[in-house]
Amino acid sequence: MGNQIDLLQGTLDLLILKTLALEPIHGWGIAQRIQQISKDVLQVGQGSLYPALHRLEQRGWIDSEWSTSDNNRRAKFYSLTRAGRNQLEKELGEWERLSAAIALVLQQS
Amino acid sequence: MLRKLRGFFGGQSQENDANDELRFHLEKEVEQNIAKGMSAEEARRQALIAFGGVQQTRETLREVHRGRFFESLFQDLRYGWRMLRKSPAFTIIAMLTLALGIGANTAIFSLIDAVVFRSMPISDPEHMVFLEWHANHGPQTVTYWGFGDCEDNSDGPNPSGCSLPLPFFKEIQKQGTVFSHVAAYTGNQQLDLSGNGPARMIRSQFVSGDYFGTIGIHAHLGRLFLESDDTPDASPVTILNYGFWQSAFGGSPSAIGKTIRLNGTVFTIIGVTEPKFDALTLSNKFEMWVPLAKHSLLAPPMVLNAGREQMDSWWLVLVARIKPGIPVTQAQEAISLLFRNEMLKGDKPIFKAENEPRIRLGTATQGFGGSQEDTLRPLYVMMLCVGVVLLIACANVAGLLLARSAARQREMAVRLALGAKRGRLVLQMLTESLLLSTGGGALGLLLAVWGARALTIMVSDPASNQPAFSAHVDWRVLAFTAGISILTGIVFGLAPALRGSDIGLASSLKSGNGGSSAAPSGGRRITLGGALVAVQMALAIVVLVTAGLLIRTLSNLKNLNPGFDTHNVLLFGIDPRLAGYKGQQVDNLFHNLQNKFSAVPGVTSASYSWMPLLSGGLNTQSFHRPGAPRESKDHVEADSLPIGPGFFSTMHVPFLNGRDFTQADYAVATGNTGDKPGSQPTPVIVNQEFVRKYFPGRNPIGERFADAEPIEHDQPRDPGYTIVGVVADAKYNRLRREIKPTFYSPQVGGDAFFELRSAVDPLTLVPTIKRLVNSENEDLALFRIATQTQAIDRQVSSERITAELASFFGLLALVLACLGLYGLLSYEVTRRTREIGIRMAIGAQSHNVVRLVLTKAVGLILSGAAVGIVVSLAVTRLLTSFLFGVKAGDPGTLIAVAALLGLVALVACYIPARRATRVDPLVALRYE
Repeated sequence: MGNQIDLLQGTLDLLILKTLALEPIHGWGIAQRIQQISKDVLQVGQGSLYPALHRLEQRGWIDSEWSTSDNNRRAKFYSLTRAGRNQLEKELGEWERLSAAIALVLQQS
Repeated sequence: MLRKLRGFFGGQSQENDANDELRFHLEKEVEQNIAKGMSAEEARRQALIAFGGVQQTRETLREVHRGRFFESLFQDLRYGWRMLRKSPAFTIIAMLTLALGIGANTAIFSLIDAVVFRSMPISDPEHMVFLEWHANHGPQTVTYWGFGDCEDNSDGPNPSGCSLPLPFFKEIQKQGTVFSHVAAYTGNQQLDLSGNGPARMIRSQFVSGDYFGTIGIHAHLGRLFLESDDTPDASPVTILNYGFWQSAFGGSPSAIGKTIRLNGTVFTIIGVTEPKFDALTLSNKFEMWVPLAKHSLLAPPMVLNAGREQMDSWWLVLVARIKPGIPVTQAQEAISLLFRNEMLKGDKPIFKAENEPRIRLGTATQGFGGSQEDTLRPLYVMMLCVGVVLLIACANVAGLLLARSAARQREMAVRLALGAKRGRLVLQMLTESLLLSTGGGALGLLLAVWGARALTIMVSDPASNQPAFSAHVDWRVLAFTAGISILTGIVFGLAPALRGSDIGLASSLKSGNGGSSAAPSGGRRITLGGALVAVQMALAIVVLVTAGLLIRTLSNLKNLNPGFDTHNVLLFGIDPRLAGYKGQQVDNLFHNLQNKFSAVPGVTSASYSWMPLLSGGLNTQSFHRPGAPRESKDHVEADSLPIGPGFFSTMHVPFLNGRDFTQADYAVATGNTGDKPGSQPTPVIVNQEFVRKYFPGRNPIGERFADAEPIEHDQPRDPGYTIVGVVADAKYNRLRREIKPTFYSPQVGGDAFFELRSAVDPLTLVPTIKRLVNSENEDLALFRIATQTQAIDRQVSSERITAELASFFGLLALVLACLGLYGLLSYEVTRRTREIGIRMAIGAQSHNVVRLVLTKAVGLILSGAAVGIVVSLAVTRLLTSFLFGVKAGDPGTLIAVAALLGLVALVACYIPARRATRVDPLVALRYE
């Protein structure tokens, strides 16, 4: 676990939105997927995951509903709303601008 | 939108939702760990470690969902209400304490406001002025009548007053420079009203033509006076007070135009005043108004008869409105100049130039205190008591909140440990305090409304059915007292919350029940609580000592032997001169009535006198000191009371020497009343004190006094008095006044009060007596009907009210202070249960345990009592003028109060101490 990175403020929201863009999924699934795709570099603890999910839901970017997951267990599935999709576009654009800017600065020195 | 609403209202389902979600997450983690090959137990442990603080997440989620202030407020309120309901005793005591504090204060201050700062029932009272004269020396007047509209001080240093002469008023009217309106009026004039049912006495006021115009009062019915009504030739008219019109004329419009007789003169009723107006000054209520110009028609002969038109007869109060645009100072200068000119001119000037006579224009709202001193003094005492009770109430609530917060220290620690934010806890405590204060405030409002009404009735004259004024709850006062109480709640609720949320988590959790016996923070908190209880004790002592002194005063007054038998005596006044009787006719009538009254079944004896005893009326006479050289100017004073035959046997005043008056004595007295006194001295009966002072060691019978040389040579020599009898000492006008040398002379001419000694309840005689008097002459009216006991009660009514109220508040203070003590000790015992258990386990006996609890209590009580006694020594000195037969620092009262407080306080200690001895060491040691 030594090679984990603390997520930048606001980045988690972007990752969640991006993950949900593929398909509706429950909280645990989101954490798992982020961890898998980032090859275990990004680990999302429940302590930050759920507050973020609830915050995004409050803003109306994602929606939630209870439904059955594997083994017939009830889980809360989150999905992206139309507003959320727009927000994702916006944040992706911002992220690209930001990372490009950082890359430029780093190349200079 | 829908989601937001759900978040707003669905607090509970939201919570469950989050729990389910988190549980699902945890289960998936466990599954994954098992899949990795861990044992079920290990998988769960690892999952929990990875998971982190569930509570913290929950708190965060809650915060996310609340988002808004209101959501959080609703929850706090709900939670606060639950907490308050969980400890009903605390809640009820705290709320009642606050309610009493707020309610009592608001009621008292509203009443004082109504009495002192009430707005006058007239139009635009701020712009009405009254004329007050000032000078360096008293005016050289022949008569000076004050009616209690303002403070008259006509012959002290820096004299001033608001009675002025008629010619001066006429002069102001004639000049008409600075005032747009000016009016003159008198105080109460008792008039005999007949022609509307049985004859009766009414209170009336003579007013000048523009009186109602000046004060801005309109007619409810008919019309009010015009200047043309106020002339000697105008036909006599009168105006009714609204209340009197209602009670005496049934509110019938046909009263207008009706004729009645006042002192035998026919008057026509022309109008009724607005309901809101009774009088300019408190307690000066009038049933009728009569034009000033008619005063000569109505003035009873021999009283105030001559000289009312003269400059040296001051008997009118003047009010005015300044013309718009003229500054008050300028108007004042103009009127002062006029006053000075009028006062200094003529052959008998009222003032000398160096007296600097001047007029001050006072705003009517400020100056017209009227004679409220008697009403006010008890109220000031009450204000003090009630203020102290409010302090106690606040200290009490503060103590309760402190003790409670200390008891909840562990709860706070647990909530903090589970991730609650400090701000949230403080907000929670604050909400609870506010809930408490608001509840107390609401109850206090109810109490204030009720209390103001009860107080008004209490301080009003018990003889009159309607209160002299109305007190409404003053919203500013209510806001003030409620603000103070709520502030107390906030400060003392918040301070411990701030401190409580600042505690070391580990020590608090470990130490079991609240602050441990060794925790220094706990110790400090108790000291504050203890100090609050001691302060309450001290304050309670102050109120109780005040109450004690007032009760002693009242009982001293009531148990005072006035020198005559006060039971079963009926008193009433008759003024035959108002019905046209003159001179000898009056005496014949009285004689006749006395015989008739004596024959009434139930009456054992009847007599009359110029004034009844202990009714406030007093007549003093100054004369040449008996035995002093004739040419010396050595004058002394004695009280004198003209009486009818049989007065002493009726009042049960024993004769010590000599005899009662005979018919011959009355004849001599009649002979001496005319312009030319006879040659025989008037026979008088004197009291013991008179003999002690002027004829010590001698038989006074036959002695003469006051037979002074005439002032001017051509006048015959005054025959003076000769003593025919000596009676025991008896009080004259007031219970509080010492018995002075007194002489009783034969009553001849003038009005009088009858005294009827009865074998039955005196008031049952009234209808028979009224019938008797009316059958004698239907224009004769009885006035001031009362029993002697009622007359005395009226005299001590202000003492009675103060004593009653002070006792009430004293007991209230005592109960509150003891509740505070009880609360503190109960808390203490709970807090130290474990310590007590250990002590008992190692062999402490129950008396040791009791001592453990009581040591602290006794310390608090003693220190509180000591401070309280010192403070009350200083405070009760303010009461000195109000006390009778007891000194401000009376040790007996102090000891009694301290003993009472100690006793009640020990009872308050008893319950917690008992509980301490019942502590089971085994249970206590397990107590966690």
